[in-house]
Amino acid sequence: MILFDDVYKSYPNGTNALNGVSFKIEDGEFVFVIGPSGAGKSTVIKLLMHEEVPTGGTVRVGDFDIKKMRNSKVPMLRRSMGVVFQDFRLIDNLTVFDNVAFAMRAVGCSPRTIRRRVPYVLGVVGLGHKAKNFPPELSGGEQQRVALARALVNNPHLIIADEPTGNVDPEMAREIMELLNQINQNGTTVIVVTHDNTLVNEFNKRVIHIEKGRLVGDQVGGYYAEEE
Amino acid sequence: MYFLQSAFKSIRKNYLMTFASVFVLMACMLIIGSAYLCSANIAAFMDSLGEKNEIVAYVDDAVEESRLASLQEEIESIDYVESVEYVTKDEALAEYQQQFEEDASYLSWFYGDENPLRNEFRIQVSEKNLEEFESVSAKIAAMEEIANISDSQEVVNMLISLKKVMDILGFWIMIILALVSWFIVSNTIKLAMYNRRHEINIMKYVGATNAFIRTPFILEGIMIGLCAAVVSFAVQWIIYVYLLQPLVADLSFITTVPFARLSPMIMLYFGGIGLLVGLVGSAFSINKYLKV
Ligand SMILES: Nc1ncnc2c1ncn2[C@@H]1O[C@H](COP(=O)(O)OP(=O)(O)O)[C@@H](O)[C@H]1O
Ligand SMILES: [Mg+2]
Repeated sequence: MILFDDVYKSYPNGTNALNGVSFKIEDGEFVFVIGPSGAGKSTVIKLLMHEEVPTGGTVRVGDFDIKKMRNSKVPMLRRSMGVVFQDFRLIDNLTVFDNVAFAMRAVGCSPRTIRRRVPYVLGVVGLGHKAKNFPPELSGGEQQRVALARALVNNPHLIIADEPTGNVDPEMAREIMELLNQINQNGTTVIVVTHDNTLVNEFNKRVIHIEKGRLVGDQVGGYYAEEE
Repeated sequence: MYFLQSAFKSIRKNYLMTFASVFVLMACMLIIGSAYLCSANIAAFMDSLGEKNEIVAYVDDAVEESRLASLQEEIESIDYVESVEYVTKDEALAEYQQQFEEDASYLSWFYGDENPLRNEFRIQVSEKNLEEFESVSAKIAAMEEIANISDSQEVVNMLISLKKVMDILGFWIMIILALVSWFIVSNTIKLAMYNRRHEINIMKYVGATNAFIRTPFILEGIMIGLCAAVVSFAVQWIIYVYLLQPLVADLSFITTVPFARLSPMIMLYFGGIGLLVGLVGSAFSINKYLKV
């Protein structure tokens, strides 16, 4: 379960990215977080993974209280989730295989498990044939899927994707969404951050709408449904 | 396995700095090692000269054996003399040969089977009254039956102060060099981490613990330290055996201590310094990129 309770976040330079945001996401849900650029969507993700801590209010992820938790527990928090970053955060001088394997090594998996698991996950995202390539040799959509494979590889209970369809053509965007939907059907909580309204409308899911750091909508159904 | 691979990768990427730090560490170790070798040789030389409160009185060859017992009593009766030991020239020769091992062979080279030494008295002056040492040795030297005496006090005193200076200097040199080594190793590791900060960052985001991220860098530090230790040991050995020992043998009568007898300490010093500096240098330098 994820809980935002009256959360404030201001960055050291004075930007107030979140101004009293509250919502709750149950295990196994599929949630879109939408809003224009600069609304505070990525900040929500940074708080979830303890990249930043809230300046006010409470953020809970499972048993972790983001503000109060000890730094030594942060790795455990992050292992419980798989994050697809807006900027991918791939390592350019590692192959696709190693970029994914890397996340497994980091949590102490055995080389045998890694050799079996990585090709499987790359297959799931449709990149089995690119295992030996380096990220700069791939298209934006392919890099996106490597990042997705890395987020999936440790079988987390929670997948968070920041603009996973931002850099890909509409067809690939739909494929990625289908994949996330499928992962959600298997019981994983999925949070997708996007400003792509067509996709949001197409998948009839819960939508958390943020603007200027405030919650302006939280309901099931399309984004436009509310405004019409 | 992963850790080792990762450490080697980092070294390869960062080889100039790695070599530089191995070199600096080596220089430090060689200086410390040389200081130790000097000090150990001075100590051995001092031992060979005898104790500082000892006077060796050589008995004139003309003195009858029957006179020896009363002569010993006379010496014992001198104030501040603590004990007197009689050593025959054969015993003295055997001792000498034992002390200097193979180098004693030059004795037979010069003298054949003949013993060039004299019978001697070894006189201990009371430690508490060392200030009377000179008057005691003067009295003994004045005795008719004594051919000459050797009290190595002056040389020994000089050596003692030399050794003291060496030890104090060595200690401070060691402290300074340890700091220098620590500085260079920690900077090497910092640079290695800087080179891989992107990777480290991502590792943190996928849930790697700090210990996991640090391990390869600590291994790198230890490898730098041990590498420097092994190479320094070899260099120290070559310098000592092929340069210093022949030089000393050519220039003086001083017998140097065989390297094999000093090498365990050298190994201990170098290994210890390498391990410590490598470990401490890497462990305390790497926090900046872990804070995400
Ligand atoms: N590290 C940061 N330091 C200062 N300001 C930031 C930082 N990250 C984001 N911001 C600011 O916070 C606001 C919200 O940013 P973000 O959460 O990235 O928005 P979104 O992902 O919805 O586009 C923006 O005004 C942005 O400029
Ligand atoms: Mg964003």
